Amino acid sequence: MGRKCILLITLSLLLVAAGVFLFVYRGLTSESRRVLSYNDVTSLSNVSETYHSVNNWLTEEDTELTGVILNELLESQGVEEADTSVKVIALDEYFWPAVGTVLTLEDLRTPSPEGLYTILAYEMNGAVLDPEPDGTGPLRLVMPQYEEGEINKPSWVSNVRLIEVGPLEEGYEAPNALDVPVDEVWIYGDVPATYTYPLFLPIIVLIGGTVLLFIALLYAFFRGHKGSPQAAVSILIATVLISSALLVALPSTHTCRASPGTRTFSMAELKSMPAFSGHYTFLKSQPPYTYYEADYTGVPISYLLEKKMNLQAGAADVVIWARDNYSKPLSLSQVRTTYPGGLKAIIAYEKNGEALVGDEGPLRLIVPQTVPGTIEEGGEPNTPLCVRMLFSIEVRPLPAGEQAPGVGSVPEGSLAVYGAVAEPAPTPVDNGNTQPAVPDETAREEEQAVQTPQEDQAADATAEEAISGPADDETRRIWAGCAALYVYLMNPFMAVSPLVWFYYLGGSP
Amino acid sequence: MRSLGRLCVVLAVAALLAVGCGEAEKTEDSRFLESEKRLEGMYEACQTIEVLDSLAEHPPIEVEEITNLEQVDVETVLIRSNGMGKPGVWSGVRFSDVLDMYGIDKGFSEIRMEAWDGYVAKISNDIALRPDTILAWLEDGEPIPEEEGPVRLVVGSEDGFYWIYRIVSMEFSR
Repeated sequence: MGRKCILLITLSLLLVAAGVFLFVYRGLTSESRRVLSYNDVTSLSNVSETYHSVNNWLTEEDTELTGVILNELLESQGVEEADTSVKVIALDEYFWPAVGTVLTLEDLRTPSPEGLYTILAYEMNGAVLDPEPDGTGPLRLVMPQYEEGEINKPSWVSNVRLIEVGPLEEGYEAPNALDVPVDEVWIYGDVPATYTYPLFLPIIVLIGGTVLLFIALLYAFFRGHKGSPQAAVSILIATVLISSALLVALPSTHTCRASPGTRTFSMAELKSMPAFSGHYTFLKSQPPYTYYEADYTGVPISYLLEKKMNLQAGAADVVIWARDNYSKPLSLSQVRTTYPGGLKAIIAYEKNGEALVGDEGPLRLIVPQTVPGTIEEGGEPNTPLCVRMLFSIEVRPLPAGEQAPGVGSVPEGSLAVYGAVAEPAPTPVDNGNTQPAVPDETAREEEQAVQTPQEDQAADATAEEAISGPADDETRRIWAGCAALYVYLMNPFMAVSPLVWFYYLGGSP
Repeated sequence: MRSLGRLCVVLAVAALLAVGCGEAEKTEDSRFLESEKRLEGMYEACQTIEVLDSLAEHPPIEVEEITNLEQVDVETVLIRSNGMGKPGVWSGVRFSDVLDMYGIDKGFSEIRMEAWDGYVAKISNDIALRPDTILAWLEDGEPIPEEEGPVRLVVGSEDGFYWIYRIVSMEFSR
């Protein structure tokens, strides 16, 4: 065979190789993402029911809605596991379930006491839902009330664009809601993978090609071109690329976050925050069920955890620790709720206008009664939650490697906050013409609370690790394509191994 | 020649593969493109905020007028109903300064603010007069999104459901 013929075949096979690369690269593009059009959703069997809603202002409303039952929609896409978590995301990134809570497929399968299910609605009171900016559609999540009086309106996510099915692998790059066209909804995450082409073909190419490649290389090395540098280089390159190809199939494993560490608030800092004062009632949980009332002033715990700091995505609940080692868990719902009478759970530092003293203070958690009143009036005991001598708040789960601060490390009258919570990143102020952001006194106090160098380092470490996360899908697909390409080129049955080229062309590197 | 024939077959398969990789064209429902038009007139309507007060009659609050007051920044985290937080700096004028400008007595118990789309927020006297309660027109130095109106209420120390936008009226309860 002449050289020209060899070169012609080489060129042709390289073109085919490009096709193989494209095949693998683009074939993997739609992995673990389902794209449903608006018409796909509306063509599924639907329900029309009246849903009762209560919003944060306790405004009640009955709404006639038509839509598809969400768990049926997910099941139609192959999502079956009962403990699968589901998160519905809007165009503006608003999502449900709320931060720190989980909504499972099993929850969606459970009807409300009225027999209603969570739906993805597309009609309201007989009219098609309009999309934003002035509407709430074309698709809107609607959850029924599972308990009487439950505030369920915040779960009615408008302008739904994404449905995340979890748990997500670490490093999974979730799509951006802004990328989803108005007439589509994307389901992504732990859904059965779909491929533009069947995955078995690239897998056969990779596995079969790999086996044949090594046989050919070993044969060439030991028999044909013993000790040749070409063979050694080929084996090396093949090993690297095939190892990379195998990595493509493996989940990324090394996402870790720097521990945000402990943030200690001094009494002065706590007092500089917006104060909440209220008349609280207390009922003990054991006979004789003592009932008493007092005025307390302090900082809403929700303000401290969600304004002064940021709860991390996985934050589940908090544990309140006292100096005598007493502790009590508190759900995020208990942290956030506005209790009867407009009261909030607070970290109190004043009682009836005086500083807390003795074994009550200097700080005490005050959680209002969910049902105010004495035991005879059906009141709900709350004193077990009202932790005295408060010194720290742990937001669970505690990140790996982070230690709870000891009592001795937190000065009397200060409060340590640690765990799955971090200080918010500083936001740049636009220009120098603007005025201080908060009340003058507060601003002065906050300026004094300068971040320590250690905290700066922790923040930097977090940022750095976020950048050096696992390779994104794009890189993984390119590696998969390269590996498949190399296996293809090295396949001895197609006579395109570089060893063979060198042999036929009679060249040497 | 036989090998060339095989080559042609392989190339043809490759070409078919490449063609098959193309995505189907998406069609967009034109009905959805009409939505923005329904906001026409909102931005202009929200330039003037009606004031209802049983104590005295007041002229409407003009956005253009209040922008002449001293501008302040509120750096806070907007907590939405699901608990998600959005840090930012909102710039505008203190609500209490607006009340002073229009001579509105601060002895009210509550303000019922209504939005262009019918949303209602009730702001207590305590919240309304806080120094970090402002009528804002900038978010992180940029004008707030036009669909949210020329100004929105920002209550730095409260959750987002107080942060009403597209405000068209304020009713003071005494």
